[in-house]
Amino acid sequence: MNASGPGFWAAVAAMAVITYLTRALPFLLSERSRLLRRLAREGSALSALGPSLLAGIAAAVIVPDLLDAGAGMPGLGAYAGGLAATAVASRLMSNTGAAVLLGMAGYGLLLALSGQG
Amino acid sequence: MIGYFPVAVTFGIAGTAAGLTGPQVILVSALIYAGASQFLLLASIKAGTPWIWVVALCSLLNVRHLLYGPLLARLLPPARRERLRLAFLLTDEVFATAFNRLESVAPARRGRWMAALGLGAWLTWIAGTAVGAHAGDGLERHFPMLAQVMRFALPALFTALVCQSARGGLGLSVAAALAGAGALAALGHTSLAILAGAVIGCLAFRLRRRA
Repeated sequence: MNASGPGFWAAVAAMAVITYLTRALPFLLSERSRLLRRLAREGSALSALGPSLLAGIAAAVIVPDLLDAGAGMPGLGAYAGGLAATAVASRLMSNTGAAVLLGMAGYGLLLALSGQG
Repeated sequence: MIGYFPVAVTFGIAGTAAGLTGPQVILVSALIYAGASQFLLLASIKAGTPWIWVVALCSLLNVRHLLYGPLLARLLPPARRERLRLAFLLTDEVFATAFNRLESVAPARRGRWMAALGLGAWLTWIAGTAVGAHAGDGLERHFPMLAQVMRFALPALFTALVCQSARGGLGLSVAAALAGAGALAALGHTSLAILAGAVIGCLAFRLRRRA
């Protein structure tokens, strides 16, 4: 997908509409809707869909970066260290933004120490 | 709202790093207003994923929103029009806050309380994105090392989201999704990797429940 082409804006518009519909649809259906009760049921496979999809996106973003960084080993170490710092921070605190900032700080520190910056 | 700001700044920075202009990044935040979907958009630009795939993946990612309405319905004002207005503002964080606090708000004031919470979060998200988009451009020119660190925001965000979502018995599903998607991404199939991760994670969840 090209960020300057019409496809980009079509994707943005479609994503905006879909996001709104998934939030609004339950208010249009009856509270006794069988579909909604099924979706909200505890232990539904749906509860694994969001986290699994996030894991898929994470792999698609991180693995190519790791393969690129593999050409220069010090960069790879800083990248892996930054990811580890983010993972530890996100397990210790519930604030996603703070965990991301700490991970970025860790990555920057490791880059500076390895002389990659 | 405090938690929203750094993530929004991160999106602004990552957006400009992905090649979007400042106004483009801000419009994406204002219109889509869903962090994970917006970062998916950036990841897709980077991976060159066809936009129809991006929209399909966004739909899958947003399926979880279908759960929020039924859980909040008994707490919200009964007027459908008001509920449909509030629905635009119903993000993961707004839902979590409302679900925990709405019961303690007087029923007559709940509509306004939700609107204030949701609008505050939306404006914080847009403002944070604008700050990030502006800072990202300046950083790239004057502080290249800092700009390199800022580009790390995208992998860091997904790492944090994955770690925080792998709770409540979902660890195995997430690990299986990571392994399957990682293998496909290493082979160069990044778009397919995302979808495969979702399928593998759900299958692992079902197998674990049956075992």
